[in-house]
Amino acid sequence: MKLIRQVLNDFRRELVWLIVYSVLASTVFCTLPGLFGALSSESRRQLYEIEEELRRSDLSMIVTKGLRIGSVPEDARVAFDAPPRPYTGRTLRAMLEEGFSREGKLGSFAVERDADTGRAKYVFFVGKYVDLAPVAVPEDCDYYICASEGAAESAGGTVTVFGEELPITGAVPEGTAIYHPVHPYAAENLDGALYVFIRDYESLRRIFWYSHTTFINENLIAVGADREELAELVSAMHRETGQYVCVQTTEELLGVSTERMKTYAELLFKLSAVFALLAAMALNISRAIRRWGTEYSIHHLFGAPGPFIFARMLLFGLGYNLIAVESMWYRVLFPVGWTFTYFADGTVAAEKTRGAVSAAEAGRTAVSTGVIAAAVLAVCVYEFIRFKAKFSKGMRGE
Amino acid sequence: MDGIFAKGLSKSYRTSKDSVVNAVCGVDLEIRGGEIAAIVGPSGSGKSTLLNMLGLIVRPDSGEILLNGERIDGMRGGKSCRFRNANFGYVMQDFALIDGESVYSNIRLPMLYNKKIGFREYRRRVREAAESLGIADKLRRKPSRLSGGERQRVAIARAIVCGQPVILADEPTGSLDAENRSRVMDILLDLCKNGGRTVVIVTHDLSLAARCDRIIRMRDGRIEADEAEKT
Repeated sequence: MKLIRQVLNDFRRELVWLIVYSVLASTVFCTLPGLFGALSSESRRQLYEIEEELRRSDLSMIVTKGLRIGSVPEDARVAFDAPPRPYTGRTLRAMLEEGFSREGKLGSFAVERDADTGRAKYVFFVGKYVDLAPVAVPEDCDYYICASEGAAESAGGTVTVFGEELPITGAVPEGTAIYHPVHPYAAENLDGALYVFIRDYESLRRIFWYSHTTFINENLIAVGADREELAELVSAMHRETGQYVCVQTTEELLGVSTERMKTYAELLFKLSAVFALLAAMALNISRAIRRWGTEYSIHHLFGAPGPFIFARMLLFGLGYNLIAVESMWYRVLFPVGWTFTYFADGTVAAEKTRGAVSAAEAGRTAVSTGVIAAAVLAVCVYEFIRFKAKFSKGMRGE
Repeated sequence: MDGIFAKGLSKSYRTSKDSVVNAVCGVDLEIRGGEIAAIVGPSGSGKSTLLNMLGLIVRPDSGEILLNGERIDGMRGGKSCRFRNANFGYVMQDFALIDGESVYSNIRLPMLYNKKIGFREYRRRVREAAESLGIADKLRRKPSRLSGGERQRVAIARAIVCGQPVILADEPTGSLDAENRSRVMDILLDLCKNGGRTVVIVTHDLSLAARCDRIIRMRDGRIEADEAEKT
């Protein structure tokens, strides 16, 4: 009890600096789990593999999420860097039917999320995106359903997807992530989700008869399409849906590699920042402990045992970082995310969702906590040894 | 054998890779219980090192120390801490008070680590010690708000609050004016003569040393002279 009282008293006398330090440390500690995740060689390897696959597949165009801006004047031109729009008379639906056919060049994916946790429940890969998935999907199969590690259902069973009962045929490797070339580093881990691979547009319409435009509005890619085909598609989308769409060319995609380099620089920066923080944390605890050095000496002189002094130092050091570590765990225990629902009329519903984070993130947070605790322990051991050495030279000057 | 007995005490410090300073060299010493002794000598003569060894702060390289017949130089860790708490009261030149705590908390401090004194006794003991030293009205104040003499009296109150039989004072009057020097010395003499405590004082002030039962003169880590008691 007296130990706790003394430590609390130490905090009381250090309160202002404790608050300043906690705010700063909370901010940076929260990046620690993410840093460990970003440094994971497995996730990096998967990203590399998928990107290499995309390069081999001659990806020539990506159409990102469309943005509806209301009625478009008749003479309005598509305000982005796209070729002129020749009018061939083909409708958008005809293009999509052809594009999503077995011989077509279009692909897309969509994610159905759990309303409570916000985590991916079903992942639908359509058209060319099927070929980009890390699963060998048979050519003659309309639907091919795979369970992932941790999914409630497993291979051999059936699952009802939008009213249709479908067999679960295979499994995807653990750690599979959705990859979209425009957002390569926002890859989401899909452990626990069920994968639905759909080869053609008819099958897509059969299962998504009321919301198949989701696959057009979001994450649409074209593989091996030439400029005329792209221009025709973009023009048709603009003409029939009133959507402006962004086009990213192969050259722009190659720029992603530059982004990758930037990401490494960012990682390096984060790594340096974390080391700097750990060093600053160690120096700050060291400073605070030395500040109470005279007091520790007086207590030791009048009978406080060495382990008691060490425990006081350690509790003080750990307590100093308690708020920052607690804020790190708060993110794990009470995560908040946003789910966006896009409607056909162009409106977007944003919903705040709460749910549990993955075991991997909780593990990374635990490792981060361990690293911080180990750093504090190391500082306290060093300071205690230093304290004992100084004390044993006598009290004069203390 | 009542009192402090030391035989062949030596202590050396390594100041650099090749340099060793012999702070205390084979000192033999006997201070009887209830005696007040002053250790005097020039700076660097080993006075404070000797006092720190007697008070179990510094471990001697060789030799033995006995307090009331019990050998104490080999004590380590918690046993050493408990023994210090129960038997020694320390008074320092710079008072060694915790400025952030009240006078009451400073005086109470040794009792926190004394298992024989229950927390119900804290208030009574602190008040008794404070009253005996004329600082009972200062218990709520912070030491930084007190004069030098008052602060040293707080330090002395802390040194006796557990009933410690031995008081080890390292330059207890070094930071005080003439009036307070005399007053603090009066208190230490009173603790010895009327309180039955053994008091060992390290000082440069020969006039104060002259009021003690014995004067032990040190030079170069050795006892140069041990002047017989006056009375």
